[in-house]
Amino acid sequence: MSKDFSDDDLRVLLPRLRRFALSLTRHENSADDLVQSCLERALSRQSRRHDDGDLRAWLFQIMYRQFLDGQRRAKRYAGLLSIFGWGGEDMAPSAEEVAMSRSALQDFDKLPAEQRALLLLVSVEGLRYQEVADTMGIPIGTVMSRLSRARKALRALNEGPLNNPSLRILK
Amino acid sequence: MNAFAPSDDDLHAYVDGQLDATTQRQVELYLAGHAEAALTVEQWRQHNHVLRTALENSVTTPVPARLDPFRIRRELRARRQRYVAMAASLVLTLSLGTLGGWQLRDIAIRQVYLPMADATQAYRMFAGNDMAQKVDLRTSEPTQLQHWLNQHFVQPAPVPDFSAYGFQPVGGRLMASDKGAAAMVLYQNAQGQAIVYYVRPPGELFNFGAGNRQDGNVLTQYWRQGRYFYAVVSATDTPATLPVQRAIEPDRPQT
Repeated sequence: MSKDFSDDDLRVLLPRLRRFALSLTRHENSADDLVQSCLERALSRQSRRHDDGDLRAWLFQIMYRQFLDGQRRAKRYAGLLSIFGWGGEDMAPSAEEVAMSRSALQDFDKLPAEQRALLLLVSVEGLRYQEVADTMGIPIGTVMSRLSRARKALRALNEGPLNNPSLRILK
Repeated sequence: MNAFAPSDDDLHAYVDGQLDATTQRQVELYLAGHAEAALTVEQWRQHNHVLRTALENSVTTPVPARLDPFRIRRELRARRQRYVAMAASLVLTLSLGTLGGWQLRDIAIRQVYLPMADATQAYRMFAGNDMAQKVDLRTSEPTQLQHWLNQHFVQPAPVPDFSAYGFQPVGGRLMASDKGAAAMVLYQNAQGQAIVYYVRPPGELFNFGAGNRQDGNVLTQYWRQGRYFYAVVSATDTPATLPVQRAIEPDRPQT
């Protein structure tokens, strides 16, 4: 893959980027904000990209880092707010969120962000484990253990205590 | 039955289709004989499927215009131009301020600082009658004086020769200035009238050029050459020094 990418290369990837961003933020508006800042970063750092490597994985990597940075900032901000006595209230669920909250996604959304990201990259995007490790900046061993934990958690949510109690013995 | 037992990681890789052909066959064989593991794997596979279909349709709105790469590129460019313009105006403001401040400082120093005032003072002190007793080096030999100057300064200008106007060197004396050693060379003519030639390192004010200044009946003519400032101080109330003054400043009026 050449170092330069065209606007069309990016346009093709936009749906995937929005999907990944949505799985991270769970709000469509903030997801699109994340996509926008990811694209801005990518376009201003175009020259620093290595020749090798998948454009998609590179963009995921930028987005994931920005998401983590944003979370860190939000945590600091929340700490600041609590100092002044304002509780960090949860964002009200948007109409989009309600629409997309079908059961599978409901369970999915209960997982921690890093497990959501991991499951999306592996199951939906079909990235190799090594690519996932590079994207998320973690060793491949951590990828495997997180994947295992995410799938266990998903199964527990799926079955639920009321759903199918007999199968819980299997865990 | 073979003894192969896949690890947890192998099973995940099997579900995600990331195993090589050999291991994949081995895992298939193993799962055929282990119902419990096969159930787990089947559940994972179903999760994968459910997630894929759910997430693939999770984004329902069309791509907003603000996410178009062309538009982002254009905005980045505009932003960069704004930054450059801002930085340029900042630099301009700073440099104008610095330059203006420096000029003000220069003007302020100039108001209280008379160039080569120490040369004038040296003339007043040493051009009296008993000057011959006060010099460090008593010689009328220009090469000796030059050698003495060379010891104290780096590449000083040659000692001027005023013998054509009747003035011979009498001796030299080292002086102290605020920026290091300074030196004067005393000249005398047959009538005992004196001229002082003065060398000193540059002081606070670097950029005054050549010029002259008259204090009473003492004329100080100064200039800069190379590393040092030079001055010749002479009296104005005698015609004997007039040719010397004119030799230093050819366009000096005939007064």
